Amino acid sequence: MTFNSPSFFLFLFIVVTVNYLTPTSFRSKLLVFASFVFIGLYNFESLLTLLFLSSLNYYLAKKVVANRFFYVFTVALNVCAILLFNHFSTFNTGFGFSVFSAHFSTDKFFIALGLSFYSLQNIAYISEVRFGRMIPETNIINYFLYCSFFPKIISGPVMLPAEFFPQVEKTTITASELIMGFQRLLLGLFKKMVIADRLVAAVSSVFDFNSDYAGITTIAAAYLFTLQMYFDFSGYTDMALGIGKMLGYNLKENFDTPLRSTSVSEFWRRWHISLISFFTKYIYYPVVYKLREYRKAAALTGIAVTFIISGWWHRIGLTFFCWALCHVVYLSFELLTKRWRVKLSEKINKRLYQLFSVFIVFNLVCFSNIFFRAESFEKAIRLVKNAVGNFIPKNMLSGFVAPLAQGGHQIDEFNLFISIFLMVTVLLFERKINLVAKSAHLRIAYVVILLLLIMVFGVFNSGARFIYMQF
Amino acid sequence: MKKISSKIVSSISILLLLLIGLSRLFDFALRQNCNLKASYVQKAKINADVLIHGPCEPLWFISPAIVDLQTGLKSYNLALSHSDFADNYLHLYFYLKNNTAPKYLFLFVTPESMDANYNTFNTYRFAAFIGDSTTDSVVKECDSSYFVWTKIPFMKYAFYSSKINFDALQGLKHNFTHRTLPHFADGYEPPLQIKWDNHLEEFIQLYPKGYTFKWSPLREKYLRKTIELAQQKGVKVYLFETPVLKESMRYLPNRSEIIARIKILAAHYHIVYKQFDYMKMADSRTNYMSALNLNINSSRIFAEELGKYIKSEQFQNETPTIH
Repeated sequence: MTFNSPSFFLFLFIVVTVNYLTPTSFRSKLLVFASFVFIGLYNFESLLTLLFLSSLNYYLAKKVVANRFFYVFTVALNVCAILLFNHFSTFNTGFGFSVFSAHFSTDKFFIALGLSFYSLQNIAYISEVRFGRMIPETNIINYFLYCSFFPKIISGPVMLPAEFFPQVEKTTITASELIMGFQRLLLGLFKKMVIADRLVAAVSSVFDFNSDYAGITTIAAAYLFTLQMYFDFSGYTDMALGIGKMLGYNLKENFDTPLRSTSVSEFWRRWHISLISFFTKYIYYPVVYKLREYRKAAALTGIAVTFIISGWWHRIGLTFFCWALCHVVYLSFELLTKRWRVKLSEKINKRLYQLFSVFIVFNLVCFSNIFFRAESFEKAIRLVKNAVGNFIPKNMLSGFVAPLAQGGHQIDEFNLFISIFLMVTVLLFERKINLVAKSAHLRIAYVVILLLLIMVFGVFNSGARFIYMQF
Repeated sequence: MKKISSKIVSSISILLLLLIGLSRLFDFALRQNCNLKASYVQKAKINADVLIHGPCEPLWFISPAIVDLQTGLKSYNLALSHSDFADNYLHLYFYLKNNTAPKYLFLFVTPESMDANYNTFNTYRFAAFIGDSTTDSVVKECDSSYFVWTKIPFMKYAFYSSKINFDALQGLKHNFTHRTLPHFADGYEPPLQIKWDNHLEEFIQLYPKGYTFKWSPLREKYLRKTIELAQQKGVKVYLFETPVLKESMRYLPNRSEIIARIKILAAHYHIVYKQFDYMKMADSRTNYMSALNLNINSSRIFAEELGKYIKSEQFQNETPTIH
């Protein structure tokens, strides 16, 4: 039951209605119950894992203030959970498809829904308590809600305790919040069903098959994967934020038009913001602080450690190590050449420099994403080799368009063209669309157009998966 | 609150109206598309003597032009790629609604056709015909998750939009240009110019101990329904199989067992299950694109052989018996 499945909409309608009508004092209990139902329907093992880990963290949090051992132990426990999740999800290809599973299996306890996301939240909570920035939560229901709140359980956003707990006591839900939430949810559905899911076929035909395509085809597939991932994940986030809003919660923004970034560091301030905020606060800053006397070397070490851990958080393996390494190189280069680049930008037309920078950053991100998407290191290297060799095929239709359009039938070319057209349109008007989506007033034209586009161009039989569900 | 309520009602009303209108437009457009066999056979008077039916193998191997040259009859290729028997059944039903019953129906049946892992029911081909009771009952049985959504305006098209939008646009184009003939006029689509697609090697890698066919009761049900529908209309039905590459047989341990079951089923309806396994082309992969698929040259030879067979059957059927 993920956000774009029909059964979820029925579930959501019931929860939003009951939550709206329920007195404030019972809302957190209701939402914990709804979240447990949501997770339990995914699979029961996920619910047991969450209950076990959350309870343990809740009780150990009371001891970490006085005893450093308990702090190290609790952090290690959560790190182990993430490690085991990564280990089992790497070797379990069936992950994510086991809805309403009837049979227990040990693997399912470790590849529990959202485990690697709420484990980060547990680490954040324990650290905040340990360093005296908050007192331990006294209500276990509130703590369960922090860990299991169903709009964010699948793939975040990662909420820090200070961002979440104050909202639990909120008293009213207004009609404007319901409208804002609905409009945001609709935008997410549109991004996921109309753009991201339509790009799956084109990306898959290059990344999942062992044919050696021309360079231009491989590069186009890498571009399309980055865009697919952006629309898939930002679509998911829009849905999560929209649902959160309808339930009276403001979840953290995860994206801020990242594909318009003019530097890789700016890109990371705008892409998967909640995860990067977590890593910056709990890894980058402590490392830099520890090595502060070495100045630039401290920052470079901080970048390296942060991104290697971020790669490892996504998946243990050579492909994600290379993905992380790419970003370490990019960010280190940016740090070391900052003065030189500022001087260069002053000599060139500002608009031209910005456009050029956006183009370069996008290409660098796409290159690193080849490692992110490839199923193995060998496959990634093969794709990189393909990208640089035999760049332009002899026949553009059969060598370039056909592989991306699943063989090049007219119908598949039409679908590819529609997907790209819709995607470019959304990217061009992204900021305006976001503004309307976040509006507190019901925008009839916006709602009707989006629903119509979803009905005409949406993919309804994609299997309801999100890319970040695997992490 | 009143303002918001009226806005919500307006949004829903506008959306519903647009979806109903769009649904009607798609109904019309898809029925106008000559390239869709389901639409074409219900519009055009084909009235063939011989109907070739089944999935991609007969679609690619049997050119009615070659068969007609041998038999002197008029044949039409009703086969569709990736289709199962339920798919075949509905297409035959559409054909018989608007055309005179053919003399002969040649239905492609192999052990692969009886296994649900091969081919499928392509629901989107029937979206424009939802509402017809026969279509509804088949779609409901073969794709129930789709069928529950068809009551919502336009949802019958939205569900498989990536398969339908293009066809609807093409249908509108056919209507504006008054087109009456499909791109493949006799239903035959020539196979791709592939030498050998390495599918067998991948198959062996996937099933090193061989693949055991599983008999699907649903496939059997619709095979029976297809035969019964044709026989009700007085059509003489033949089940047939094209020559299968011999080297691939060793990876299909229960193939002969399934063939025997098909023969029992054929005998029940007093019809022939014709296999062309005596043809020499089965000995060499140079005649194939893959283990099941003949290449363009050998498919021509096979179509000629089928034509000769039909001719001999026609001779036997039409020669008065001596009492």
